[in-house]
Amino acid sequence: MDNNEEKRRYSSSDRRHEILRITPYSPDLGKLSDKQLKALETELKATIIAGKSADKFHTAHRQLSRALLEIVWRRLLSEKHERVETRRILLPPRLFYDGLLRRFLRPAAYKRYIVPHIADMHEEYFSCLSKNDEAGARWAIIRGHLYVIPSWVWSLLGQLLARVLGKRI
Amino acid sequence: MVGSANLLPTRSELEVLKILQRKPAGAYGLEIVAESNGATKRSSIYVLLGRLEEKGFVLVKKTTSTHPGLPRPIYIITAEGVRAVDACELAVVVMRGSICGQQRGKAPV
Repeated sequence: MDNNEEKRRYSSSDRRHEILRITPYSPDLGKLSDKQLKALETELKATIIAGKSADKFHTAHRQLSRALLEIVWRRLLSEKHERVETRRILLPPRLFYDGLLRRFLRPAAYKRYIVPHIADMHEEYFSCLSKNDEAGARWAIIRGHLYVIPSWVWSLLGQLLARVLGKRI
Repeated sequence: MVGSANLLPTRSELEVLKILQRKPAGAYGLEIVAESNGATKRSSIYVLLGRLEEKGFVLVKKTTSTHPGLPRPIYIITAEGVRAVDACELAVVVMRGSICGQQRGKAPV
């Protein structure tokens, strides 16, 4: 393959596919934006290709791709770890007996007495996490449960009492 | 449907209404608990606010949260709520006045 042709192809708009073709073990490379790829390439070009003549372009290109792959792979791995951590933090805690609550309470009662407690629990949980207080966040969940259960029991008793008294009267 | 006799706020409901009266923009449930100095507990605040809402003294406003969890509702006092607080305070003043008057009347005897 002619060097000029190689250069032309390398500088075409389809550069991402070209890099993917040369480095077949980097499937996640396709997720990077053109801007990110270009920045990486420029950085690597400065270190690898600098001082080399045009006829060495093909070899340099392969070296560049290999180095690019390594950098991208490391970055993706670190990003993956960050992503897992973020996902764990961002999930709001839920009540494992939420289905039971919804089944035994009227929707209006659920909305009026249970939802504000859950909202408070979420607020405390996320404020603790923002301060990196994991123990506090766990305690916020436990406390939220402790406040929801009595409200639920009392509202159930109230409903039962109202039904019984309603029948008697 | 709430009967007219039940429209009278109880002592704890009155405390909540007074706190809300000081905050025209509204307050969260936990804010009210913090400001009540132990008069209302966290476990009973939403029952009280629910009752007040049923009576029409309090309005619930939905908010948006900055986190992915559920947003906390804001409770705002209504005009009826303000009138109820004023009426209760006036009733207390009148009652005190009448008690003092009776005592003054009895004193010489």
